[in-house]
Amino acid sequence: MHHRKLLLIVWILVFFSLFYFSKERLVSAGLPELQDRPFGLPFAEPPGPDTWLLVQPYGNTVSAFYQRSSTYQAGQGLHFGIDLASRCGFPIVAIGDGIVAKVDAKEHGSAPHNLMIDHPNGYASFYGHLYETPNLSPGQQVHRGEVIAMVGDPDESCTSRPHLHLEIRNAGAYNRAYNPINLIEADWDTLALTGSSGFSFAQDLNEPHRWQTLRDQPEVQFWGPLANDYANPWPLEWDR
Amino acid sequence: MDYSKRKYRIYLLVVAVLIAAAAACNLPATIVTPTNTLPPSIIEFPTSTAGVLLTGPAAAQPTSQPAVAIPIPTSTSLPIPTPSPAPSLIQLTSSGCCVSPFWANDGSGIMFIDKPSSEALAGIWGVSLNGGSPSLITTRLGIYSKDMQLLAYPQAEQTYVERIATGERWIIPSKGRAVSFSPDGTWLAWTAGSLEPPFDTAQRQVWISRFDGTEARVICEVTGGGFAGWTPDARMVITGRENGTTVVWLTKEGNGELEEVCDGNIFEMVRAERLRGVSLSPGGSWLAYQVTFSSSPEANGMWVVNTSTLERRKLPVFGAFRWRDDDSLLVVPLELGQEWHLLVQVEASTGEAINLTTPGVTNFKIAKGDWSVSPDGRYVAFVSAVDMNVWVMALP
Repeated sequence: MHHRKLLLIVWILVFFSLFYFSKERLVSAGLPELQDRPFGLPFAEPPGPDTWLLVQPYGNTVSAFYQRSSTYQAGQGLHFGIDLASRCGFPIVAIGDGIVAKVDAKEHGSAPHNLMIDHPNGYASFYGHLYETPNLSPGQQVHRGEVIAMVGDPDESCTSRPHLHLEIRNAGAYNRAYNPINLIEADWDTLALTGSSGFSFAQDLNEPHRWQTLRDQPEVQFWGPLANDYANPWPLEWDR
Repeated sequence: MDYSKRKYRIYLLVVAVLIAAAAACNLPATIVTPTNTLPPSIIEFPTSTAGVLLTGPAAAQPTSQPAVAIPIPTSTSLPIPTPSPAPSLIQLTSSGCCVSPFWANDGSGIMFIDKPSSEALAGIWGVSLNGGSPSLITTRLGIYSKDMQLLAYPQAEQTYVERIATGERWIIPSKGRAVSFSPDGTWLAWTAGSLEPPFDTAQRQVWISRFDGTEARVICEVTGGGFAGWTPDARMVITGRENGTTVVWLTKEGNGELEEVCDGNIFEMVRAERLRGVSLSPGGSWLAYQVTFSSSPEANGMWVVNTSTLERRKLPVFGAFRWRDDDSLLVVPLELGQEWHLLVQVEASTGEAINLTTPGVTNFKIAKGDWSVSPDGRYVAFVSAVDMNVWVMALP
C-alpha cells in the first residue's frame, strides 16, 4: 500500500514537471499557445511595403499617453486597439466567424465608417476608419477570411494616415477592450519590427516594468478612470 | 538495503531523470552565454560607465555639396546568404529587465530607464558590457547634449536647458516643447505648430536658437512635417508634405549660420508617397527611408540616397533597419512565422547584402522592435522576445 502511494506521488510529480517544462518551452521559444488566440489577422495578404504594416500596438503607447486626456480619454488613456497602416481601398477580412452587429455605429468612434462583428466566443471585433460604409447588414453572417470592408483614412484624404484601427471588445455590451495581440494568431514580434522605429510604452517611474511588452497590456473599461495619469512619467511631459 | 528503500531510490532516480530531460528540452536551441560575464575574447571595451553619453556615434563629416542632377534609381539583386562566423550572444540583464536599451556614447555599456526595486531610485541605469549588476548613472532625466553636459527638460510648461556641472539654467522659447541639441551642443532645434489632425496639412515651424535660448528664430515653415535631425556637421534634416507626397530636405549650411533656410538655402533629397522611417547614417553620407503603399508599386521598399550626390538605390530587403556605420545598414527582414530573426547587412554604396546570422545557429528574436547598434558598430543590443532581457550580439 505504501509503495502504491509512493508510486502515485512519483507520477504526479512527473506529470506536473513535464507539464511545467513543456509550457515553459512554448513560451521561451516565442511560440503562441494557439488555444488562446482564436482569431486571425484582418488582412489576407502578408505584411510588407505593398500591403500593410503594424504602426501602433494596443495599450499604454507613448502616443496614447500624450493624448490620454483627449483622443484616448474614453479608453482610460490607452490605445484600445491596434493600428495597421495600408492604402485606401485595401481589403479587410473578418478575423473570425461571426454575425454583423453594427454598421457605422458613430457612438464607437473611428470615423468615417466602422463595423462591429459579434463572435460566438463572446468577443466582438471592431473595424474602424473604413473607406466606405461596409456592404453588410446587422444580423448577416460572415466567415473568417471573408472580405468585409476596405481601409480608409480618418482624415478622409487618403494621403494623410490611412489605416485600419482594429479593436476586440466584449460582444453585446461593447464596453471593454482587450489586447488583440493576445487574441490574434500572428508573429507579433516580427510585425513590431517595422512600421515604426520601435514601439515604446509610457512608463510610470514608480513602477517602470509595468505594461512594457506587447502582450502585457491592461484591459480597457471604457469611460473608466485614466490608467496612465502618472505623477512621475517617462517620457517627460513635453508640450505637444 | 531492504527492498522498499531500493525501490524508493529507483523512483527518485526516475523522477530526477525525467525532470532533467524535461529541463533539457526547455533549453533554448541557441548558442548563448546566459551569464553576466563576457567570455575573455569579448572583453574589449573599457569597463567604466563614467562619462556615458546618450547620442549616436560621431563620424566623419561630409563636406561636398550635393549635385543638382537627380540620378535614376537603381535596384539591386536579392541578398545571397553568405556564410560568416556566427555572432555570439551575451545576456546582460535578468528577470525581464529592461526595455528600450541605448548605448553609452563610448560603447562601454548599455543604459535604460529603470527603478530596479521599490527602494531604488528611478533614473538612467547602466550595465557594463563586461557584465555585473546594473548601476545608477543619473536620476536626472531629459534630453542630453552629446557630451552630456547640458540637459533639456520641461517644467511648468516651459523648456529649460541646464548646465549639469554648475546648475545654471535657461528658459528656451519653445514653450515646453522638446528640443534637439546640435552635435556640438551649441544650438537647439524644435518644431512648433499644429499637432492636430489632419497631420499632412498641419502648418509647422522649424525653430533654432543657441543652447541658452538666445537668437531664437523660425528658419523654415513647412506643411505636415518639421525638424527631423542633425548631420554630424550640424546641417538640418527637415521634412514636409507637398501635393500628397513627403519631401525630405537638407540645409546647405549648419550650426545656425542660416537665417531663413527654406528660401534657397535648402535642397531636396527625397520626394515620395507614404515615405517613412527617415534615418541618416552616422557620418551623414546616406539617408535611409522606406516607401510604402505607393500608387507606383515599384517605388515600394527600402531606399538609400546619398546626401552629397543624390544617388538613390533601392535595397534588396525590406524590414527594420539601423545604421552600423556610414555605409553599412543592418536590416532585420520582415518575414513572418520564422522562429528566429535574421540580421542582414547591406552596403549603401553598392547594394550588396550579406547575412550576418543564420537562424538555427545564432538564435535571437527581438521584442517590439527594441534594438540598437553600438557606436563603433560592433555590437547590437536588443530586448529578447524570448525572455524580455537585454542581450548583446557581437557582430562578425
